[in-house]
Amino acid sequence: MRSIGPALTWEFRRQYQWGFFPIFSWNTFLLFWIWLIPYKISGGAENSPRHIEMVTGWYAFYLYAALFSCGAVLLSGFVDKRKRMTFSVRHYALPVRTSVLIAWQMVCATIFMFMSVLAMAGFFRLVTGLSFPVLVPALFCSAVLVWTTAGLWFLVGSQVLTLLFFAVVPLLLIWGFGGIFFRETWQSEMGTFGKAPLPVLFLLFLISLLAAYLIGVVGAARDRRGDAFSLMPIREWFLERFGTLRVRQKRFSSPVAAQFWFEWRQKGLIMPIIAVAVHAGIIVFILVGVMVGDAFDTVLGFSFFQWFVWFHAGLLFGMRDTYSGKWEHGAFTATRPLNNRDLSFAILKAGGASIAVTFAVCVLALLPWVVMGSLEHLPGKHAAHPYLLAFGYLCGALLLSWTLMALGACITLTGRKSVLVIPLTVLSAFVVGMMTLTAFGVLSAGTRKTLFEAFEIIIALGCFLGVLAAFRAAYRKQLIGKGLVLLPAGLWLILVVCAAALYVRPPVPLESIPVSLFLLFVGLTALPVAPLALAPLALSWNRHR
Amino acid sequence: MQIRISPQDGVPIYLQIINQVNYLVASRRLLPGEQLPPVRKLAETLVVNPNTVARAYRELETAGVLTTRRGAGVFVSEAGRPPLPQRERKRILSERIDILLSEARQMGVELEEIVELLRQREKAIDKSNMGRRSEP
Amino acid sequence: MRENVVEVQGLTRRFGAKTALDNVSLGVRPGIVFGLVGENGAGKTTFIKHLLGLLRAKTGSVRVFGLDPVRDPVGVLGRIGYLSEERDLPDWMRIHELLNYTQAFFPKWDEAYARELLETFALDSRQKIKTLSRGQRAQTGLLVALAHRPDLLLLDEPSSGLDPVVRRDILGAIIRTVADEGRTVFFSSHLLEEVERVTDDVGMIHAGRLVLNAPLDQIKASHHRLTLRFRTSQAAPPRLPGILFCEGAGLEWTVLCDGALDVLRAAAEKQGARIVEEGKPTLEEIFVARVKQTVSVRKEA
Repeated sequence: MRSIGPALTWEFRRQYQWGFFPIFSWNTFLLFWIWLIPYKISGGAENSPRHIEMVTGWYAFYLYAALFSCGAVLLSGFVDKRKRMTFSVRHYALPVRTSVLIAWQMVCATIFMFMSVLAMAGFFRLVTGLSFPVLVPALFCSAVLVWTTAGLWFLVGSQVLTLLFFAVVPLLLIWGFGGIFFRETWQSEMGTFGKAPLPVLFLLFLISLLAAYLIGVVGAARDRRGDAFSLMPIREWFLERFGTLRVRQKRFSSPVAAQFWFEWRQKGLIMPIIAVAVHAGIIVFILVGVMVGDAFDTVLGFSFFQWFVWFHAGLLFGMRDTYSGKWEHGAFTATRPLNNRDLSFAILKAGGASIAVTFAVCVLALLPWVVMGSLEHLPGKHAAHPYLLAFGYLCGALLLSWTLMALGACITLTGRKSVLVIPLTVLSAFVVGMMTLTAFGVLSAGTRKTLFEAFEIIIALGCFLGVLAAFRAAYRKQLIGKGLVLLPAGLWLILVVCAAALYVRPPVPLESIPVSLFLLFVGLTALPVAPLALAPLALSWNRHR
Repeated sequence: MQIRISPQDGVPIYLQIINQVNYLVASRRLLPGEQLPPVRKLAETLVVNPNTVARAYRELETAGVLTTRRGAGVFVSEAGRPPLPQRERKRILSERIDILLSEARQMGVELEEIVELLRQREKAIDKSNMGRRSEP
Repeated sequence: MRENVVEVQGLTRRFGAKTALDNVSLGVRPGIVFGLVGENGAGKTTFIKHLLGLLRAKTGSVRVFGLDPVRDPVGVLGRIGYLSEERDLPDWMRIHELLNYTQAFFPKWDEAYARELLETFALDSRQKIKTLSRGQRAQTGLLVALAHRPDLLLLDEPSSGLDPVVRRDILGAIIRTVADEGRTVFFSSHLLEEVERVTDDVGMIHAGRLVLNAPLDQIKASHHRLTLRFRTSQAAPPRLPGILFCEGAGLEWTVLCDGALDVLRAAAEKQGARIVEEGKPTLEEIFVARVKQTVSVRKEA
């Protein structure tokens, strides 16, 4: 390698190559699929152009957010031993100027965004025939990514400020994008924007790039000197003025309680804090006068659709060595005198407590709206009991969040990256394959229907048999006792009965649901109880290698 | 009680302890009836395994140099019993003499010269001892 | 005679192509200090991980306190005080939180003793573990391992990277543990001077194989270092039976052998050499000789 840029790029690629592409596919293609299904089902661009436009707008937003988040996380530098998003000492000690390091980073970021947007637009065009603007989004996203990198560099010394930055920037993005995308004429708007003179756009882009570069270099240079801007002086002043720290603590009643405290303290408050922050942000927006009408929808949406985030939270809960980011079991927790069942259950309990607290926060946030009677305007308002429906939704959301969190935790509990990477890659490949085949007309509607039905039945059977096998294995290995086999079985039966009741007498009139979908649903109801066996198995597989 | 242990010496540690205790007793730096530190304390001070110290104490007790008083600790045996059996004394000195002789041989010094040197050194030590004994 | 605290039979472990442990069998008697010696990467940490149940014994058997650490983690880990090589402690905790947390797991926790150790090590219980220096981290880890008076103190390279003051603390802890009736210490190290001071039994591991396993006194008594002076200058190291290591040039050669002194003497005389110096090698010399011997044997084979 002749020079620094290629050397660093090579190192970056080698470090991330096995993790990056699966994560990238997961985030982008899954979202693409969520967008594509209604588009294709509604027969393409001829049908309901207004609907298509709205959905496409949402898709564009999610896409850029996903690309942005991928890029920001991966290109903010190599995580160093102290677990900050900055270069490690090893890089700082190289005979390289800070300005060169930052320049390399930002050039990589720009190239990355350009190529990603190009690839996605091209794929989009290939599949749907819609021509998606390329240049403007690419410039915009690169600029955003570069500015984010600069901001991170400037605030690298303080974890609090970095988190705040990460919280504020997406909100700003939503605000900005909302102005462009969530209006009726977004495509023409984008067209107009794209029709601005090219030199002007490029000039704006370069100027902002330069400004971000300077900020980034200043921030990185300070960090390299060990002089990063941080809030420590304020914290210390605060502590000095307002007394010593509490040293007394209550005793733990049992080892399991102590381990629960450990897991809770480490990770339990992340989601509740995010919930509080989101709701606070919404309140701020309302006060400022932006998106008042949409506020209720947003609150509702966040409360009921947070299950997606819980999967990722679950992945975090299951990681046994959070600080080093390694998947192998850290020695500290592995050498606790706890058996595998107690240890894994402490983790699940902490996750469950986290879910409970977060949902409590969301329900509290919803109370003002309920009092104001907004619940009457929910979809399905002709249902006899809107509050009961809302309660049903809440239970469903809770169950879904628990299942996804616990399954995510089980995945990372195994301590093997392949357990996450292989299914994701297979799923992405399957999804992309299906989409391509459908788009190119290889699959007729009838074949697709049969294929989906078969797929649903396979998954249902797979879930049911898999869970059964897991319980049997866990019982055999003496990880769980009889009580922990009978209890989940009973719970599952209750869930099945509820599902059957809902199928026979739905509270809201639905179109007829095919039997295969119902079977899939029944199979999936085995999943909420599965972690009771899967978690001890996964932990045992990880702890005793 | 000043004892120095050097693990690199080649001599097993318990033997070093034994030798040094014997030396201290023989040179009256440990008086009869004086208490020695307990096994644990000495092990911590010297930073050696307590089992090693225990072994040294055991062998010294067998040799009659030390006595254990139940509940009180380890003490130097009362005067009247010889501090060191003749056999032991000769063995320790033989080792030192072997080293001296082999070095002398290397340097090419004859036996008569060594004997003369021994007499000279004894006179010199006696002189300095006299000086010390006159002090209270 | 009580049963062995640790009993390992025929333990073999491979990681891909690399053999980390090769048919290792050893037993640790109760109430002694056992030192596992070996160079970096010899298999010491792998061995210790088997004792903790962090690695399953795929070939062979591992028993601690007569129990299988994989099947009965509570029974085994509840009686072990472990200090890992990386001093794996949760960074976000404060020391007093760590003590309170650890106390919940061990019924034999001695609060007074813990406080005494805190004072001896001069640690501030309000400090966050993240802000501790390396030596203080080791001290904290040691404190947490000692305070519940474990039946087996298991230390993985306890002195690595530490200053002499902290090293003394650690050795002191080892000594005090064994001085208390019935408690055992097992530690791995490549600092042989320390091993020489405190161990009763020594096990030497090289490239996964246990090349030596005997009481320290026995090892030191059976190994000899001889300096041979030949009548004629030797171009190559002399070939004599039973030597582990040979070094020197020309007329004088120093050899290290294990036992068989008379055979060696006779053979040396046959080759026209006489013994000018005879001494006891240090543990470090014995170790280096043994390691190099196995290397050279393999080269010839």
